[in-house]
Amino acid sequence: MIRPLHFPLLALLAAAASAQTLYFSDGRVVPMSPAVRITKDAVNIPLELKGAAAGEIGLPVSSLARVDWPRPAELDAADAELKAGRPADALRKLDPILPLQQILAEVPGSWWGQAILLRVAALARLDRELDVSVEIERLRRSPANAPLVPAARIAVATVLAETGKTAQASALLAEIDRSGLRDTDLAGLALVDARLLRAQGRHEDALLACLRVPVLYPAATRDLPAALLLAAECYRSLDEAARADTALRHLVEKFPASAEAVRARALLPNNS
Amino acid sequence: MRAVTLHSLALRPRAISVPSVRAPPSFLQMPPLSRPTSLPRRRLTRLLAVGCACAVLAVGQAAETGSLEALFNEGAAAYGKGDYAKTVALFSEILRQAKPGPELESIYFTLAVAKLRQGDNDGAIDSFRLYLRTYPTGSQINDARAGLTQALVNASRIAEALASIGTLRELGDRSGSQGIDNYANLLSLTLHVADALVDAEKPAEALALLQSALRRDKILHRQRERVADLARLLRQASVMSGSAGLGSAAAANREALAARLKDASEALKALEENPSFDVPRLLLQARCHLVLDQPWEAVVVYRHILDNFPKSSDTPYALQGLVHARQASNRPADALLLAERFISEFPDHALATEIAALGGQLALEQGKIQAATSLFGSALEKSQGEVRQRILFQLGLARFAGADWAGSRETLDRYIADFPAGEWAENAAYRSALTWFLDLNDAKRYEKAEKALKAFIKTHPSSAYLSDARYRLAVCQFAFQEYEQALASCTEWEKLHPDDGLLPEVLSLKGDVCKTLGREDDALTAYLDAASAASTDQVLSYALSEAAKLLEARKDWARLSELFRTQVSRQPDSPLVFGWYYWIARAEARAGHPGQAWDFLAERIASSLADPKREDVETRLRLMAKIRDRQRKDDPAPIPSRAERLPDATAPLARARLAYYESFLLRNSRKPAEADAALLAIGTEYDPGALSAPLLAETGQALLKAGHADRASANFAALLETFGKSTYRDYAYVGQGDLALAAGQPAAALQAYQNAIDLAGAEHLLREATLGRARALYELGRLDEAAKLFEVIAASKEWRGEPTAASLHHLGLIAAKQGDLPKANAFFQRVFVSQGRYPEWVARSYIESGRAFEKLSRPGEAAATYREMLRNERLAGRSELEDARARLAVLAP
Repeated sequence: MIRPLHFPLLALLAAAASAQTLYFSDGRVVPMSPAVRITKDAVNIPLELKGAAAGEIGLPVSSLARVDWPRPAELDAADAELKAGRPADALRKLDPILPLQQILAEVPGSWWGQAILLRVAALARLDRELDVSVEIERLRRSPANAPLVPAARIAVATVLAETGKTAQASALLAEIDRSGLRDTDLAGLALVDARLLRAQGRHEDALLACLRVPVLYPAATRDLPAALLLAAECYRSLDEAARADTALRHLVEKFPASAEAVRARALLPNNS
Repeated sequence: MRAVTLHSLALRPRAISVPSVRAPPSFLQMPPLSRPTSLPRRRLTRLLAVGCACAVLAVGQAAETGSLEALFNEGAAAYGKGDYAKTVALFSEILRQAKPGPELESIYFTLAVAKLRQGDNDGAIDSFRLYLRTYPTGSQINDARAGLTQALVNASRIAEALASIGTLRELGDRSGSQGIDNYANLLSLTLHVADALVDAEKPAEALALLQSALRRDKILHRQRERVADLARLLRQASVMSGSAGLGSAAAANREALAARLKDASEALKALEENPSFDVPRLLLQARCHLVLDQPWEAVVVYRHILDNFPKSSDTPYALQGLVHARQASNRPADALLLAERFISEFPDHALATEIAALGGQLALEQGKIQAATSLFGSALEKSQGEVRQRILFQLGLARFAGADWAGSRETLDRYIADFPAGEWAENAAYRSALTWFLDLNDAKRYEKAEKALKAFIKTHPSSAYLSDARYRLAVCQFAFQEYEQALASCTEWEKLHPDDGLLPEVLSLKGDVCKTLGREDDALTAYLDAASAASTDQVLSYALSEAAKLLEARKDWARLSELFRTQVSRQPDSPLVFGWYYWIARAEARAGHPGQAWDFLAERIASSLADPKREDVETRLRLMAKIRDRQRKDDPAPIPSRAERLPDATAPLARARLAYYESFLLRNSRKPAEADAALLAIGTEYDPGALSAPLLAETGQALLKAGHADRASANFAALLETFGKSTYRDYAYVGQGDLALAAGQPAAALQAYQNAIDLAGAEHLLREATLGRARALYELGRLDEAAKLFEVIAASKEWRGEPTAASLHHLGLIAAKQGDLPKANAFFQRVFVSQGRYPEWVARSYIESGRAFEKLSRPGEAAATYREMLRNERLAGRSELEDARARLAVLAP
């Protein structure tokens, strides 16, 4: 009998089953299907027996070596809500996928860490400081997701910078150990640094900070549109209109569907 | 000798076009960087040794075995000695004779490498491709790809090299025997391709390649994985080869793997020991950004290098690049600081000369003459050839710009001596001649200038500077009072250079000469022509002013008014327009329409009364006061001092200016004490921050004269700080000089007076600044220099007045110090005979004259001098009289 607890999980799995595969440490490879059940501790796989009998075997979640799991659409949806300034809606978008992803949190290929990062950003926007701390602590305690803690702090600092809480943002950034960070984290840091500097009227330093993203971390595509837009604003503040337009055109050309591209088109002369 | 005005004092040397002297583009060429090395020779040799047995096995024909083996051994030996041509010949023969097979793999490979090393790039490309086709899963596939890429780069077949690099990167994902053993080598190849792309003017592609290249941390990770992979393969091969003999294929495979593991391990070790591994890639990336006109991006990269790799041996190149990047991003001040930092940190580096020269150029452009001179001097030390030529010339320019005439001349003459056919020889020669003309401190400058300019014209009959030289010669003739010759020179100049840009100056000079000769009609015509042709405000202002004085002298008010009304209509937006209003009002007033004149000015003053940037307001207020005074004389009925037509003033500056107007009403009413008090009151009642430049200047002087040193100092400081480009700054510098001199600080005083001339142009107080310099030099004991200046002042008719008395007195003091008492006495006597209006100097000169007579053991004349002094009524109350009485009591008790 299918327990009610698992029904939503199964429903989700059914929708995405065709692209998901489970790899066990004993070499077993199991494509996801509605018959595969994931509970809190086990992955229950159906067994084919002779005759009409059916059975299943339960393998511990800890025996999973990795999962091949396409990025859940809910993550992009939540990201879009965040960028649109609707953090509460972003949280709602994340809720359905969190239970399952949490079960798989320590398995390579899980999206739990990414989901928590988005959750942290949304909670920060809603000024729910305590909840933010709780989520960051959860990340820290997860061996597989501890490396995401700097990214979480950067996400919080970004929100603080964007909402004018520059002193708090600066204090948070000062706590981050920058050595050994991944490029995506360093790009995020560069962007927050740039925002804080710009808020202080230090346009030249802000420009050099945001240019670190396309120059030193070009693979950090998530932050590139924002970096290019901020660079254009800094160029304008420094009376470098031609370079500002070049940055905007580059943004529109490389990231045409981004929210920043919409703004860039409005800023370009003749809306070109 | 007549001291000329516009042409020698106010006029700066006409802009001589200096070819842009840019630093050589060496920064665009990559420095000799420590890049990862390519295929290690040792491994090839070992592979050959292993391959030898395999090749022998491949032959199989008893009759040919010996010859093939001999060929192989000889070829291998030649390879070991670096005789690649021989290796190619011998190995090619082996391939011709032997049957194809897996055992010949190393022969095919070594043949390709030998061709590459020989420089036969096309041959190497074909051979590597043959190897890859023949052995698609060969054990040396990665080295073959690398060699192919290198050959393609060498042959400038960049597109193919790019494709080859891409394939190599795909290999990076493979493990097993076909994987890449040396990831550092892959980066080296990437840099070579990127270099070639930049050379082929494809910087965008180079940049994309570099930004996608692996960084050190990733390469370390992969290299460690590779070493582990090879170790595993070696273990497997060792097990499989077991007790197989040395000549067996299994043993050969094991040996080959062992060699590869050793090389891979060494590559890893080298990587681990080189924390600056990423620097060459970053430098090349920064170079791409600069070539792509992305200087800010380049700054990001260079700073990243300097911040994260401070101990890298390539740091100087990063700093050099940052200098250029800051210059390209229009931050010359930063670029200069960085250049100075480079010289400080790397004074002996090969790039130091280039950076010092660039720094000197930046300093010169920013007007930092001392820094420019220092940097050029530093660059000159180690420079040679063309670089030295340029630096030497620029050093001469820097000294010229800093008004170090003697130093500039010395440097420019050195340039001419060292590079007589140099690119700027003519420019240097002319500037050298010009330095005599411009040296205001040299009493004989016109003589020396004339000699130098004539010599220049003789040696450079086709020079572009002839028009300038001839103009200056005419000025010299004017200075020598050779007026007819000067006039003829001006006329000749107009014929020779009718379209030259100096025409307005020459016409102005012609006007001056005609005026001196009393030919006023001709002078007026010349001045008006100069005004019409003027391309600078300086000449326009001078010419119009001189024309106006002539018309005023003739009392031709109608024409005077018309002249300036026409000028106003021609150039209503000119910064000189308010000065023209002044003349119009003056003409109207003198023509008997004072009310109209006053109203004319009052209407135009309203909008600028509270504007501190308008420095002509005070001039107009003085005229208005003068007109009002004249009205009062014509019509004795009392007129309110604050005329109702002046706007109500609420702003502090407006009120201060109205108070200034009233002070001039008092002065014009012959109430000098009240006028001085009113001016002093402005200085004490108003905050310096509220006043305009002219008010700060005049109240500062008033405060200084009244003994309010601190307040005067505040006014002068505010003038310099707030009105950095004002023509009234010379008041501040002269005031500071006077304060320093009074405080017993002659060195500081000298600098201040010099600043009045060099930095502020001394438009108002050149006389005072020159006198101040002379007095400061005297106090510093530099008597000869002081004497020269005092002589210039004393001889100048335009500067007649108290400075003349002071100068004569000091010349006497100097002569006395130098032991020539009769000469000293002559000067003192000139003072009390001819400068009676200046009691301070008369009294002091009497005393000094008496003392001189006493030292000459002529007590009778000393006593007569003292008595004459005591009889001089103008000296009543002076403290020096007591000295005279005391001496008389001793000499004639």
